[in-house]
Amino acid sequence: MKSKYKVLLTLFMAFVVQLGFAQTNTITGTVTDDGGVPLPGVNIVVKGTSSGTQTDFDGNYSIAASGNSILVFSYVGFKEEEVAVGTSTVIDMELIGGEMLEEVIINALGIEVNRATQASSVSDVAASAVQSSGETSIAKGLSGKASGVQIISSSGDAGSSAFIQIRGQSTITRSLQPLIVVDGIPISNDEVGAGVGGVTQQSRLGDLNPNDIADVKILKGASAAALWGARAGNGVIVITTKKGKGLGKGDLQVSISSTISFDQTNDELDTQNIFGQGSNGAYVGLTQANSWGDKISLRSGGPDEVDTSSLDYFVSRDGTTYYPIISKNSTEDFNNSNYDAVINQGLYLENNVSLSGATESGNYFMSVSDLKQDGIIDENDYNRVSLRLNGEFKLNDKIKFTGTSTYSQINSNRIQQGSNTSGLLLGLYRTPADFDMRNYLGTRYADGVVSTTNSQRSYRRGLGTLDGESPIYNNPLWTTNVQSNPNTVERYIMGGQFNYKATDWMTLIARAGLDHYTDERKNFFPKNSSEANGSGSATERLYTSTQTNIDFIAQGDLLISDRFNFGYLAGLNYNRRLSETRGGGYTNFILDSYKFFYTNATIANRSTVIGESEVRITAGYAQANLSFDDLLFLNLTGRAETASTYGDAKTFFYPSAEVGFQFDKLLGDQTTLSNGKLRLTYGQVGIEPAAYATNTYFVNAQGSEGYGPAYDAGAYDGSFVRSSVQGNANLEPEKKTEYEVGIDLGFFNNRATLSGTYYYNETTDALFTVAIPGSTGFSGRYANAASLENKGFELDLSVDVIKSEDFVWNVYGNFSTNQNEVTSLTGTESLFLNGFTGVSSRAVAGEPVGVLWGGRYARNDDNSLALDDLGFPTVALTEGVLGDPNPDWRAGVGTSISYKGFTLSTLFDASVGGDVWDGTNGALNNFGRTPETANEVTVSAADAQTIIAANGATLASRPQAVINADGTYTIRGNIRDFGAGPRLLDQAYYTGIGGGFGPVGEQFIYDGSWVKWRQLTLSYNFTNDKLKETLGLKNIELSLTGRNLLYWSKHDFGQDPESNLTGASNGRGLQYFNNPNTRSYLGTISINF
Amino acid sequence: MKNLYILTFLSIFIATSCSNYVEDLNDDPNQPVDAGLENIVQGVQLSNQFWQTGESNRTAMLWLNQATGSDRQYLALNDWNTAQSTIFDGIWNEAMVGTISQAQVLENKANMLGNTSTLGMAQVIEANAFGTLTSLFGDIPFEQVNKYEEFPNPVYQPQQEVYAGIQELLNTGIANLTDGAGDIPNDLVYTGSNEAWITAAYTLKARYFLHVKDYAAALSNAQQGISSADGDYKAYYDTTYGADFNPFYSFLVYDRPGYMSAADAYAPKLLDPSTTLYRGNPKTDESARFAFSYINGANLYNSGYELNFYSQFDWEEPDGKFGTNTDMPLITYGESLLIIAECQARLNGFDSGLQAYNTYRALLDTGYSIGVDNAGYNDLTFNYDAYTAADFAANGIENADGISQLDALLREIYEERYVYFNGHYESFVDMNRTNNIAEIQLKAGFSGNAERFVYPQVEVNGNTSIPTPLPGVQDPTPVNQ
Repeated sequence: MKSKYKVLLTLFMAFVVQLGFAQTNTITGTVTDDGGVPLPGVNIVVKGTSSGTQTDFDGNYSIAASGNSILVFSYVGFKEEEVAVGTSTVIDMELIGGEMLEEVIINALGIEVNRATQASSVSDVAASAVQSSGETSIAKGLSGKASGVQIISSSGDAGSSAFIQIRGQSTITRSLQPLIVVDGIPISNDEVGAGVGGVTQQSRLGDLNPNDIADVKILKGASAAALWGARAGNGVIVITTKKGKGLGKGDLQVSISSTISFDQTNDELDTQNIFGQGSNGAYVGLTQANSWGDKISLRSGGPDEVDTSSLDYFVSRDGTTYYPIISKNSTEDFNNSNYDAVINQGLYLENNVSLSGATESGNYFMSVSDLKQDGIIDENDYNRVSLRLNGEFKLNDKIKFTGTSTYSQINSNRIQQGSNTSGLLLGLYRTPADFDMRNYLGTRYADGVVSTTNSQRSYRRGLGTLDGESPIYNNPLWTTNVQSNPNTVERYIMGGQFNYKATDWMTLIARAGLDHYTDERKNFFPKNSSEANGSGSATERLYTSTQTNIDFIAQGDLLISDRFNFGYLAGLNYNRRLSETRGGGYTNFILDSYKFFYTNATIANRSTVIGESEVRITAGYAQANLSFDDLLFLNLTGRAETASTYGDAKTFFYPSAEVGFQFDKLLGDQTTLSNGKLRLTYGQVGIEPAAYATNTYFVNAQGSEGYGPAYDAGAYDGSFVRSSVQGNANLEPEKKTEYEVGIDLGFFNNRATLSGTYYYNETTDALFTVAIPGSTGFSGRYANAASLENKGFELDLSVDVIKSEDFVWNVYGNFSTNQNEVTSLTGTESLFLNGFTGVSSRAVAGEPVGVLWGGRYARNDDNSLALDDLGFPTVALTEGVLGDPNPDWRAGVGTSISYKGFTLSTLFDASVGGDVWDGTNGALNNFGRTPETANEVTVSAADAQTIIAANGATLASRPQAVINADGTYTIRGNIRDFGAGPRLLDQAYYTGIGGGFGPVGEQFIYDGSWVKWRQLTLSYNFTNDKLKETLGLKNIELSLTGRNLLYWSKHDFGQDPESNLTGASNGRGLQYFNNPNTRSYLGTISINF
Repeated sequence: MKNLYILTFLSIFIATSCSNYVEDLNDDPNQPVDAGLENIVQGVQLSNQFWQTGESNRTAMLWLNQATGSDRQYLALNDWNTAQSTIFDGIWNEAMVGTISQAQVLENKANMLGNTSTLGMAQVIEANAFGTLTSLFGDIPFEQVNKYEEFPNPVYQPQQEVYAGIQELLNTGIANLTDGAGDIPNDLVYTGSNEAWITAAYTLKARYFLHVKDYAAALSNAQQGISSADGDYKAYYDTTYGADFNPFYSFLVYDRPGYMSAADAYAPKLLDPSTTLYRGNPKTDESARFAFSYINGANLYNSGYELNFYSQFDWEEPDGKFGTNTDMPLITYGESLLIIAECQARLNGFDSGLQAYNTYRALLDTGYSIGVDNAGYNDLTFNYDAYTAADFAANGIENADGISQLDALLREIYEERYVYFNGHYESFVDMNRTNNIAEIQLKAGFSGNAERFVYPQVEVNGNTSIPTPLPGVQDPTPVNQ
């Protein structure tokens, strides 16, 4: 308040003074950051002169300047501003913070370099954009915000992983995830254990608190990432966390923010509620898998007639007794109540407190965050507590210490999903509409006495399970409420850096980083679960990962002449990654206990696992930047690297070169074209081989078949045999070479910016376990045996349509295409990446990587279907390519409108052209649960005698056919002509070649294009003086966000096509009972003191 | 000056630590790189028994109407015309990589150590694996198998040639076992008895001569083959899930409950005394064998017949044929006697055949093969009295339709083999070798019958030598053409 009076007074004084002196005025004012906090030490110079001053500790300044001069305000960490003096004598300035200086950016190593020297395409995502996305993880928060970057979440489960893919897949079997570098330290983004079943895993990037980040840069091109050599093949995401800033004398800046989010599923799968449990049109209860039963509406109504004299019955926990059904009379439909029993509203609450500040000798930032999330699925939760402390201390002008430390703890309970009889949706979607699943736990009586106390009642065990009996599919409520899959993650990331400015032209940096996590997981399937035939099964794993990274760097700049500038960087890198898996399990419980103890199984039924891996890299790197007159830039980088995973410790060299041409400097008038830069780059990066693959080992003699049965010599006398995978002493890293050409344009003082990049990259020596024919003695050999290429175009656009003091309207967008092709694949026609025996995602030579592969229809030479004697389609002997899950193009369009304190912003994004295998509805066809299978057709009496079903029977002779009064026949099913006249598609067809368990995966591939309304945010920022005075608050910001509000998809899957069963693995485009994605409504309040 | 010291020290530190930072690390701390002969033996034996009683056996059972696919993937699998190459990947790789190649690794070790006993044993298993593969797939790679560096695309040799090679391999195996230097350590099958391996090898020789219709050679080898129930080569199973469960049981009950039943199948009806197809007669009572093989009407997973997966272990019922820890026959005394009976009949006429067949019947009458202890099942009745010539004469109890006496006998032998080899590959081979002499009724509504297994996708993908065009499931293998 005091300072405001001062300002008013000064203003008045200045006005008076100005009347008297027209030529040189004293300009005064206050410089604040965008939050209204005064900034001390801001440099203010009169452009083109040597006169200048700095703001005092209250952010005030005073400078003499003439009316036609321009004041330049600059401050480290803030955007530079210029203001024409004109007639004003008071110029208050708000500097935009939170962004790096325009001229200085962070390079791949987390070191500040001159932006102009970099020519590769880098996507910059504002931290606020990630934070306001409503996502609890950084990765998901990047969705739709950068061209060429694809984010796919595995499901909407609380804490679930997301897959980040930059410019298409440039490796076949190695990790597709970019290297994550936080404050110069490479950290793990592991996702351990993604497969077709089990629980949705977390990605370790999710351990970071999005509120701690100041900036995210996505280095897409090889040349930008080349400093990381064989770890940069998938690009690098460079994250900078917040620093204390802005205040003098150690003042404390406190920020508090709280977010509440209400989540719900963003789509519900349609299942039919017309026909009940049974087969061939008749009700069959108790164990029947299918919903091919009678028409529910035609039943007599009223309660079912049950056999109360039966000695076999089930008493649920609420006292309801279930007897065998004699006659199914009830017309009740439980489709919705079953669904609502397990999938409903999710909620999360996140609280953040941060303390920060700076003094002349350093700065600090400290934050505490607590996230409590209950997923939309019952009992699914995710709780994250994180702490961060960043500090910088300047001993003197030459020596600076920087330290950063983070601790996160995750506690979560996950739900079994996917292809998994213990999974949620397998049981839920297959449960017939006429089965009420809500009483799932109780006591099973057999022969009139208690047989099983914690018996599970499911639709295929209508009277509950007996001892040692599988429910076949879990009742979904059992999956959520009785089974448990907890995990606890403890994560520490610590870094320390020592800067020593040895000379004007050389700074020496020693930097060490440590990233350590432990992930402790349990999966607990009590007795009477579907797992292990109801005998009980428990497993635990402890995953430990430790990454140590040390760099010694020398860096400096030399101004050779007025026009020539030379910058360099040279360094050494040591990197060590240690990971361990330990754990065990037991099955066939002795006691029906919900506690975890190994003695609850006989010794033969206990098992242990161990896996250890150590990988080391050492490298030397150097970078030279040359700039000529701020017009031409040349940037050369080289990294020589050797790693423990290479055969015979070979050394590889990764070069890169970038040329930038700032052609706008050649133009006299830069008001229209304010920025024009042409970029050309070349770079090579690599992807490491897997550890320990240079040897052929001997392994425990064991084997298994796809359906489950297995053997293990450990149950006999123990035996070891030669591994079926042959070692390879000549392993090399995969080498990815990328060429890029791009242009950056800025118009009208950069009110409109446009950036376009075309890239081409080729990965040679791609690694994979070549699936060699068994007749060679091995089933696989790990080798550098493939090559693949990506080419694509990226466009980013931003226009400030209106930009005035009170009103800003910005429109932005991005667009990208990527074309991928596996150009060679030695030794095999196709390579399994992930998925099922029936349909999988594979690499096939001449096709994009990840193509969907599986059973096809047999076809004649003219491509018509080859039909069998009955006129139904047949299956081809071999499998082939069915579709391409890679989208043709992706785009995001957003806009943001600010008026005074209000900001309204929204974002849409789209993915067009990728195929998806709809395994969910394929499987549900088999069970008669899809709406398609609940169709009814009516045909004439004559047609009923000629139209045949897949088993050769005429329509009229099918048991479920109904003869109408007029002699026509009505039957459940569809009529289709495959080329030999109309045929009846009914139970015989859908449980055979027409269903998802049949051999023809081809029929369930659909176009997975979608458009999503990703986000809508309305926020209001209070910066009221009263507020400051009375409450001492600097500002309050309120925001309301809707996330994933709507989506449109080309094919109605009944499930969000933007999810992938196999998570961040290399398999794509697979939908099979994935847990649903979510839509959220969030409210956030942030208060700064 | 101080800076210089620091820089010098730093340079030395870095230079010295660089060189060995990454060396000698790339050896997996959790996996050995070699194992001794004694510790490889069971690996070869376990692999062989696993795939010979696994997924493809079940597939063959569906196609022979010994069982019925009842749920999900197994519904479509009832129709052999939906067979695709991928469903045979598992058996092929387990056989080629897990059994044959490991047997050769073991043979090399045995050779180096001069252990001819183990060498011979490994050769017998190798021959057994090759024999099963060629009988199911026809032409297969043989001489070029497990020589990746030399032959990355092993050629497919004609089936006749493969059979000849197998006979050669068995001869060498028998010679080595006869030589008998050293022991066969950790021998799961015959606890180190060379004699038992030799008789098993002769029965195998007889089996493969029978496949190529060389009845004389089959007869003479069968006569030197397994000569008592104790000599049976069985797959040994126990009660740890995922480790030593009978794979049938693991599939039927633990892994895929309800996928496979025997509802509407032909084999249980042959054995079920309550059906019109019942093969019993005044001299034959199949009650025990029926109950041992099939469960009737328990409605556990499906209505109708189920394969008998009962066991003491999980069900507190007598162990059925497909029970938790039931040992599955691979090469048996019964097979020897059946080969002798058929060959006697074909070579020396009806009377010799009948006499030999009655020898087999006498064995059954002791309860052999119809209970895990070869003494019948669950105290149920069984009876296999000797047949007389009249029984095979027109209108005899084994010849209601009046075909020739010899044909009637062969039909009976083959119907018996169909029942005896329930769950064993030999019943699949029999059907195609004899053009279904046994008159097995296959599932209706599908065209043709399954003559062979389709080459696996792993070979289609990776072996340029694979025959083109790929033979389909209805194409007979060369020896049956």
